[in-house]
Parts: sequence; structure tokens; C-alpha cells
Amino acid sequence: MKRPAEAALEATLRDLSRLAPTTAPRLALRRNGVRRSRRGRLVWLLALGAVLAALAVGAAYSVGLGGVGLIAAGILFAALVVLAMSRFGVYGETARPPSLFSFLLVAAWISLVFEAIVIITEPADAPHLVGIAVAFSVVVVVGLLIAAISWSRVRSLWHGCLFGRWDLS
Amino acid sequence: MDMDRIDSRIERALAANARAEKIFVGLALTIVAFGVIAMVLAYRNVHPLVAAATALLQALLWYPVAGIRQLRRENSSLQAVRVLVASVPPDRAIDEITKLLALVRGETPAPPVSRRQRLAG
Repeated sequence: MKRPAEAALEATLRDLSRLAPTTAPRLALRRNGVRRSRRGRLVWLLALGAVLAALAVGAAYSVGLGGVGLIAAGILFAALVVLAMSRFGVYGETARPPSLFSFLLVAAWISLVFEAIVIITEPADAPHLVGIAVAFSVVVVVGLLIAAISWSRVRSLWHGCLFGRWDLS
Repeated sequence: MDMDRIDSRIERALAANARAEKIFVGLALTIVAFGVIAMVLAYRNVHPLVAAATALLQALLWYPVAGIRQLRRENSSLQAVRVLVASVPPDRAIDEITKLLALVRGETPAPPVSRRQRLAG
């Protein structure tokens, strides 16, 4: 799925390569695959940290360890995980994370916000534990399902919504 | 080379980007509005923790801001193409547009193609 600017530049390159055929246009048109790595690594780490934090907060509250401080503990846990992973290079050298992880990041943060609101606004003995566990699981599982089944479709819909119909031929 | 065709192509790409920019601005305004509403609700209910949680909501602003920055980068690249095509020899223009393409894709620019590679290609 190409952005209009990328498609326009590629088409112009093709036009120019007809005028200068010795310039090896394939070299220019092919993606060289070396992307800026900082953002990719950051999203990787944030995604993994947030998922683990959401899991920790949800699990702890479900077994009765609820409290306002739990959110801070969850975030701290996420930060420690991120720190440890970056220290030992667990995340590998992948420059750009797959879309699945970007989506997982959003799903995990939705879970965290939901859990935070419930924990803060409800008394500790409220009969919401099952609801929290179910909602938490639903968010993550539905997120994963969407990511696995139709994430590319969602992306193409959003792309169409952003740029409208464009034809640069 | 048909300059009108290139101009019209770039105009269409710029128009698509302008549309996307409007949507991103709308998205950013919506996020800000939701943040303000959440803050007002937290104030009325005297709930400082919920008020602090709006910071998380405002963090969503990163997406439209990054999108707008990317669109601006693309727009300047597209506008530079017209000048390049009109004023620079084709082989040199190809090198420069390749760099712009790498910028738009978020890649590090490819190393310059040597004369030997060009002849071999």
C-alpha cells in the first residue's frame, strides 16, 4: 500500500529513467530495506512492556491484590522489563516492528486504562473482578484476532479514508 | 518528457496529502476535545487520579502530529521534484529523486550509484 507521494515519486523516476537508461532505475525503485531503527525499537519495547504491564495489573487485581498503587507498580514493572530487555538485547535487531505489535500496544494500553479506571473508581470489594478479567481478555483477544485476520484490511480502509481515491498513472 | 503529466501527477499527490492533513487535524482536535471533557468531568467529580489519566489520552496526540509531520515532509519532497525535473539533467535528477524517495519511505538514503555500476546496469 503506497502513499500518494511515494507513488508519484516512483512514477516520475520511471519517466526519467526512459531518458537516462544507464542509471539503473531498479536500484532507485527498489526499497533498500534499511529503515530508521530508533522508532521501531521503541515501539517494540513499548508494546512488550505495555502488554506485560496490562497482564500483571489484570492478574494481580483478579486475585485480590487490587489498589491504586497497583497501576504504578504495573507501569514500573513495564519500565523494568523494557530496561532489562534493552540491556540484554532481547528484542533483537529488527528495525521496524510488525503491525501486530503496534496493534497489541494499543490493545494493551486500552486494557491498562480500563483497569485503572475500574480500580480507582470502584471499592475494593465490588463484585467486578469477573467483569474486569473478561473485559481485559476480550480487549486483548479481539485485538489479536483483528490483527491476525484483517489488520491489513483495516489499514487499507484507513489509508483510503485518509487519501481518498487517487490515481497517479 | 511530458512535464504536464508530471505536474498533474504531483498536483494529485499534493491534493491527496492535503485531504489527509485535514483528517489528521480533525483527529487531533477530537483528541484534545475528549481530553478537555475528561478533565472537566474529573474536576466536577473531584477526582485527581482521573484528571491525571487524561495525560494518557493526550499521549494519543502523538499519532496525528507524527502523521502531519510526515505529510509536510512529503509535500516539500513533491514540490522539489518539479524544480529538479525542470532544471537538472535526467541522471542527476534520478539520483536526487531517489534520495527524496528514501526520505518519504523513512529509509536511510541508498549509497550513490557509481559510474561503473551505471554502466554495468
